[in-house]
Amino acid sequence: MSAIEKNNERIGPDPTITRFLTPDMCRIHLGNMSALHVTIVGERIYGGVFAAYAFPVGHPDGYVSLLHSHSTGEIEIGIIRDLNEFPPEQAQLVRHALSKRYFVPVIHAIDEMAWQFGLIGVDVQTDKGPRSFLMRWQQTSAVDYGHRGKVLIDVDENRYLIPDVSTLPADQQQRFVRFIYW
Amino acid sequence: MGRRKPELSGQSRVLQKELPEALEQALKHAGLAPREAWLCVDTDLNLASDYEQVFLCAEADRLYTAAVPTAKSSSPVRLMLTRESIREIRTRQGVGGGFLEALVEGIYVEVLAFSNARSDVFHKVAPKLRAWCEKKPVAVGAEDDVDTRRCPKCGLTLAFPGDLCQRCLKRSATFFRVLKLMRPYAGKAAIMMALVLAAIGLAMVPQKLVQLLIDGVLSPHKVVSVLWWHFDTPITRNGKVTLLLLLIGVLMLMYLITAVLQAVSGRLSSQVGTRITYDMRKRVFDHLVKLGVDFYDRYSTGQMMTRVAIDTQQMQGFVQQLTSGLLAQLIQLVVVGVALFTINWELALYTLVPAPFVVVATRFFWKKIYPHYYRVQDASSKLHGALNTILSGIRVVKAFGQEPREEGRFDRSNSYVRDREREVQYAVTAFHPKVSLLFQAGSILVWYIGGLQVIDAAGRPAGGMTTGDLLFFFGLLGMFWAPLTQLTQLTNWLTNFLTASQRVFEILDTNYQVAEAAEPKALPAAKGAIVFENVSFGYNRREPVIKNVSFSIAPGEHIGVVGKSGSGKTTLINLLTRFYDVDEGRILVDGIDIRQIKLDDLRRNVGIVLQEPFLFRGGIWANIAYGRTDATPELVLSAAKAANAHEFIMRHPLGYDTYVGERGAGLSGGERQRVSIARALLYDPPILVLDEATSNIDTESEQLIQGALARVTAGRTTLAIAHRLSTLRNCNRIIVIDGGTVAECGTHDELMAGQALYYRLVKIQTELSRGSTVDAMIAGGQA
Repeated sequence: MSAIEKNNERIGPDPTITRFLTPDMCRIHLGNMSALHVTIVGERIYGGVFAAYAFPVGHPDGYVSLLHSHSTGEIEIGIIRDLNEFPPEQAQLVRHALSKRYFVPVIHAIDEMAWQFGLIGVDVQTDKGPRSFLMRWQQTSAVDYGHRGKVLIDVDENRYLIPDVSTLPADQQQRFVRFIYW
Repeated sequence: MGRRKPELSGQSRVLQKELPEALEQALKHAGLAPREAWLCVDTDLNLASDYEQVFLCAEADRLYTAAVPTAKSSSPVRLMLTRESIREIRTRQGVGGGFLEALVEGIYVEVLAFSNARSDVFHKVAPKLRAWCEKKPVAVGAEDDVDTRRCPKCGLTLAFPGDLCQRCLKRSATFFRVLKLMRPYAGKAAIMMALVLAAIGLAMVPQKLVQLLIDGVLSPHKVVSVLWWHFDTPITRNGKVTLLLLLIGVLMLMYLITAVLQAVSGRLSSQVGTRITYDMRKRVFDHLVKLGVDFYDRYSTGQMMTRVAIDTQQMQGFVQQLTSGLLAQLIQLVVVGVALFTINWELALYTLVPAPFVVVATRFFWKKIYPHYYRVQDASSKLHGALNTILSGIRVVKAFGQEPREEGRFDRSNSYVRDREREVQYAVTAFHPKVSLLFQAGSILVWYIGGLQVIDAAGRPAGGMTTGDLLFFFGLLGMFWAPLTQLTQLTNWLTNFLTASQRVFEILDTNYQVAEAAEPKALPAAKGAIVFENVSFGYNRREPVIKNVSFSIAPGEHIGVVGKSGSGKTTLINLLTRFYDVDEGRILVDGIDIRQIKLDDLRRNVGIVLQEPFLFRGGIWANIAYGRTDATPELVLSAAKAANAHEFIMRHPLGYDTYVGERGAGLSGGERQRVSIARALLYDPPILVLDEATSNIDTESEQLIQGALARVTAGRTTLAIAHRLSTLRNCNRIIVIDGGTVAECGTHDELMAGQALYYRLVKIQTELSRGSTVDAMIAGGQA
């Protein structure tokens, strides 16, 4: 496999080829300053690694891209096809990295929604505690998440996820679709 | 800077926060002196992505993050780094938030996390810390608290700096603004209102005539009363016939007057309504074309079309509501209600029995049904969207044999619309009979009580309720019920109306982000000297695209701009033409900051040939002369010849009068481009920008266009962006942009000798072009 080079130094794999990472070729661990590291056998140790979903809705536990951040940009080290193929402690490190990158509180209950001239005030219960936020009443502020879910985006561009609107209690669903009907 | 503390220019409320007492004590206990920190800022998340107030403090030689000790961690300090250990500080955006990171021992470590609500603060903090790491002077002060992205009144994050705060807008002001629009038509509006009142009064007359007809003419009584006349002597048959004819005559006259009133009122309403809509549409459009390109980045063309075409239509709706809609019905309700109580207050009270039920039921119904109505509208617009997409891409659909798939996709949208419409129709058809039932219950009550009163009065010699009175009452009752159901929608209508009006006013109130200077400098004919001085800019406030770029161009110089996709080449052009204004630094043309130059003059001095040439629907002649409407045919012909466009234009039967469709339909890509070059040539600007003008066309067209461009650019300052580097070989200099910065600058030979980025790009393109192109193969075959 050809590689990216900088000042004749190899800094990563060929970006035009997809490399799937498997437990026998790499090890995911914490390194210096508790930063996430990935050691690729026979290649190098990548420090300051972060993770990103390729299919956050369709495959929330697979196709996770591991990226190495360096001074001039980012390179993809490879993609994990299925996190469960990895030892639990390594998979957990990746899941933790994902949860940090995707700061999207999950809404469990909608307590209140009130419209006020183009803005909707929303009071919700999330996996990170109760939250109140204001969102603009426009389609770009509530986008589809798969077939049944919605991501709500507040005025500060914070995101809140309802994975499946149909699982909310009937009164909360009604409250929700009264404003978010698209 | 050494150990010197950064300069402080007044206290910043955001970057020099007071620590909570408990945390300050805990830090002191841990041997730290938080009061010596020059930077103390809080975030809303911890590194585990949980909500927690974490502080970042920077002292002269170290920085640390700290939070009030919890059960999980007994130490207040979460992370501590010395300045010497940090090589770089940056922010990295995630989804819904981001991180402040430090490069330590070759690895970027997360210093703290923040949600998007705090993101702006840390984008402000990062450069300060970077300067601190590099031991440069750092200023922290009250000026750092200025946040143009927030409403100064309520603190709500605005869609863009200078935007209107939706929360602080006065709704009543909107209503009065619409009324103010009607001021020029005040006289006509007053006449309309008078006609409305007259129409309501006249509508009551036939009911009264029915009463007279029954009690005075059709009654078997010999002695009757007609209005103020009491006939003590029995009326003969002939007398009754005369009275009947008289009443019928009056009835006919009333109908005639009502018809005339309706016609006059309708004509006035249309006149005023269409005029207001026209005025409003004109104002909105005039404003829209003056707004900057940034505005169109935020709003889709579809949204704007809705606002211009549909929302402005609401103004006409407002006038119609005054004359025949809800407001007219409100007046009718009051007038008829008063009449009912005047005729028979007791019976009138009974009529009100079902009223609260009707009002409550209707209100409840609309509250329930409205989201369904919205859903129908939304489904319908999605159906149009799907249809538009499929038909626009019909060639792709056919090429990939995907007709059944698209049929399925359309069918799904169509079914969804059908189901949603059925849902609403079912609800509406079920509701109306229920309301009718309530009305009928009320009528039955009135029939019973009124009937009793008529029976009791029949035994009395005079006075009491007559059959005619009862029928008169019933006639008015119909007029009373009709508006009652509709008035429950008054709030909805007002809300919709105010929202639509607000959307229109929102455009009218949007400030020009690229605004003309208060005292702009004229620059009728520039020499063409350009200077970029420490320019930084980002479309997204969190992601700068151009970072501290500086270069200068002499008049008449030909400059090539190259770089990878997304490196910021086109952004440089967008800034030079003031489609956007720089965030930092400045751009000078002939030594004048372009923000100070009269916008018309700037645009007159800079001509652009875009990658996607945009032609308007109309003649080729009109398209070439677009920038110079005073151009003579001679000038247009010369420009077209120089642009190598004349030949193909003349092949069309109608020559320069050939009509081109939407976006230049009917012409090939190369032909469209040559027309746009002719347009630029006719415009004759001293500075010419070629934004990948030859990237989308075939080799033969490219040769023709290159020839045209060589003529067009002669003697002008030219900035040419190109992917095909061979086209820039003859430029005086080539600027290589990488990651928003100037990576290299020099002649082709100098850059090739340097063997850096430009050299690599040329090498890649040379490798690619070694393979035969289709054109070359065809040419080879023909040979």
